[in-house]
Amino acid sequence: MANLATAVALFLTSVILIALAVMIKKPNKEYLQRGVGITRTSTILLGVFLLVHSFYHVSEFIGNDFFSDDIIEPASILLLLAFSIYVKTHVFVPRSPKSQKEILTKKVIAEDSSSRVIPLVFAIPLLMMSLSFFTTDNVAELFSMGGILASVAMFGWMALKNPSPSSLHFQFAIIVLVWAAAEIPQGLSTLGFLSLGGVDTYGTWVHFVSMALIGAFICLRTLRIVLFSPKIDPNFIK
Amino acid sequence: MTQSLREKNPSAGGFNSMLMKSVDIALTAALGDSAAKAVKFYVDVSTITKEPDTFKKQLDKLFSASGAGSQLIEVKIMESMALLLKQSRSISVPTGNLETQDLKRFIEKCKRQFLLA
Repeated sequence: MANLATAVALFLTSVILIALAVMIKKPNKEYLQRGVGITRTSTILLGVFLLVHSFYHVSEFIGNDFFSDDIIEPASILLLLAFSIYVKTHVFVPRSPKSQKEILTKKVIAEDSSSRVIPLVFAIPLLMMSLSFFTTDNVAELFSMGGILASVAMFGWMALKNPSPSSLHFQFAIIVLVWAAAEIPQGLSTLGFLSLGGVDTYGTWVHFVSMALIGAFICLRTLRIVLFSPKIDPNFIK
Repeated sequence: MTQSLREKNPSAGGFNSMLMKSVDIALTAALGDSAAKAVKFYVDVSTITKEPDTFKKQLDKLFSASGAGSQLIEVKIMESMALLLKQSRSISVPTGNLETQDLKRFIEKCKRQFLLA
């Protein structure tokens, strides 16, 4: 039942995003088109990721595990990775240091903790995954876990570099972190590293929570922009 | 100076909402309504109230390294802010050579005048 609810929520969210991307009009000036093109491409990537992931949940609901786990899930993770890389490359900027004192403090912090913590957090599961690559046939599961971890690492890094709670990368970092909380125990259990009773049920429901978060985050962000932006007269300034 | 003014004067919040409205006006004027909304999905507009430099970097990154696109939007933000200040508080801010002005300094100048008015 959680699968069906997740599929419906994701499908509706993806429709909103794809419709938004289609409705974006190109500006007349050529030097403004690049920025608008970037927002269109990333919106399409996010929309298609959610659409493909909704098909994964439909397939899980029907019970076609091969199709869902080995084909659709890796495809959706690939889209999530593409979205993460695209946002990091074309949209994200780190927070500017406010003063010389902060620049010096940042240098000290960067030298010790933040840049080293993230690789360490993900080193153990990645090492286990690398080892299991040679011992397991479940390459699709490995790919999905690796993709989610890579995405968490990217958004986590962006959230550390610019910790603004209202930014897209910060909110997405929370979403993929919840998703990873669902996927890592489930993936490790499938690969034989963990043997926990009820891990499937736990994973399904935490996954449902992360997908509900994605849906709520995108709908709220879109509605806030579309409905609550002030009405602007385009000729207010020349 | 600005910090102490902000603490004494609760209308600093009013300035921030005016500043964010200026960004809305500038984006709509430069890109059109639908594209402005799409850009706001990715660019955190509220950043301009606390870290104008980070906001400027966001625009620079999105609208290419040539800088023409982000500069046009910055100029429009300054123009609309000057107009809003004039309309709401009768404050006149010089708007000559906006292309050469720094966004952060312009915002600070407007904020000082807004809080003193």
